[in-house]
Amino acid sequence: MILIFWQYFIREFEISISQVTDIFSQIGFFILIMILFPLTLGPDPNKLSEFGIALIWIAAFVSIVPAYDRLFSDDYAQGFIEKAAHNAQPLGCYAAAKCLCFFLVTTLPLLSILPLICVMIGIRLSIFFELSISLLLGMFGMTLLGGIASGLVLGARRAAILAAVLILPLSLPILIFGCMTGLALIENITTKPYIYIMIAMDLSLIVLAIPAMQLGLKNAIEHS
Amino acid sequence: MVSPSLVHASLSLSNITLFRTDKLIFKDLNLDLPSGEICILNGPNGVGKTSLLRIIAGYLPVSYGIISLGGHIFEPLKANLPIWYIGSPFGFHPNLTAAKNLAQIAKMRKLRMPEEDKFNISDFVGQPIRTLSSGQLQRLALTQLLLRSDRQKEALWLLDEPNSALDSSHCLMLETLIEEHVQYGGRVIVAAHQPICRHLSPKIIQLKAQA
Repeated sequence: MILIFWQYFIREFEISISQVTDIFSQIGFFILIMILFPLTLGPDPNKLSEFGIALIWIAAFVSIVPAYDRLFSDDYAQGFIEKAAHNAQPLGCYAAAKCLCFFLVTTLPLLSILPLICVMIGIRLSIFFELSISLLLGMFGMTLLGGIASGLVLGARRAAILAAVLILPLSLPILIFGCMTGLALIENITTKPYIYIMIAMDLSLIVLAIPAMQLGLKNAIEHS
Repeated sequence: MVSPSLVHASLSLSNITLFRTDKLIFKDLNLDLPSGEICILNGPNGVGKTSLLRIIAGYLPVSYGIISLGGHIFEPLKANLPIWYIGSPFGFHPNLTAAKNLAQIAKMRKLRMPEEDKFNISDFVGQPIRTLSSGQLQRLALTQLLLRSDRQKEALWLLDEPNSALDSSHCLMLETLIEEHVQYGGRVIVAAHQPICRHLSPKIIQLKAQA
């Protein structure tokens, strides 16, 4: 099982490398949104840092959510999911590998430019490490939600909008607790409760998402 | 995993009926396919040749009817028999090279790479899939049938117009391959417009458009 998971993961990684412009465009979009805020809210660092955390979360969501509907749709159109259904391992294994790879190739580049963004909107760099942890936890949960939505809308018309409509309400808890973590960091109070809640949300999402994605993919094959 | 005795048992389709969004595609199809036999699906476009292959492959649920293997319900997605469904879309990623795509499939199904390059894919294995012609794609897809393992000989091949874009020499190669597979006790179901494997006295299912 682990070996097959690893095979799927390597395949996804090779595909991501071959489409590296997708990653750059997401990051570029993220930076563009973040540049808009100092321009529209004014350059006052106190004001910016007050809103800063929320702005980072919103920009990260907005730049990555549109990519979720494509999570499975390429493989679906190319007939790969049907091929994978004939492998000895369940489709959930494929879906989990896909989500993990997607999470890594979208979130890690985002974190790599985060220090720059922090400087731009007046967030002190000493909280960068904990901010990154909260973003990693949040984006991991988001990817699993994205996976569920993408699996469910596979093969539907206007899948992109449908997926976004499904994901955004479900992602509110992640957004709320993610921002709370950031605010606690800025006010120098303990972030542990929020971090723990996010870990709990991620763990329960893992349990929910894998069977849900498997069902979604199977359903999509039957209706193609 | 199925017991060894079942591997050579007969694959039976009884009274297979398919509706798609209330439209009747075909009804009461019957077929008995013991190991070592070949079946050919004939008929004009849109009568359900591909759908029937996809049903046997386990992708499409039947509306009515039963598929069984030696008296047991046949569950294609649970590896009762190794199954190869070769039909467009082939499941290759357009940005990766042909070699990489083939190697991935071999690894995922725990198979060894083929010893012989029967479909001459070495001419283009280094190219990304998106640059290949439809004939080259078909040759690459058929090369999957040459991937080796101990259980490949008993595999069920479901070929959806496998020779539609092949040149004559590769068509011959495909027929030889099918003949060998059938001789070793494999099963083959082919949907084709061009005549294929007539000398193997295949069972023929003639599908007709429903009124």
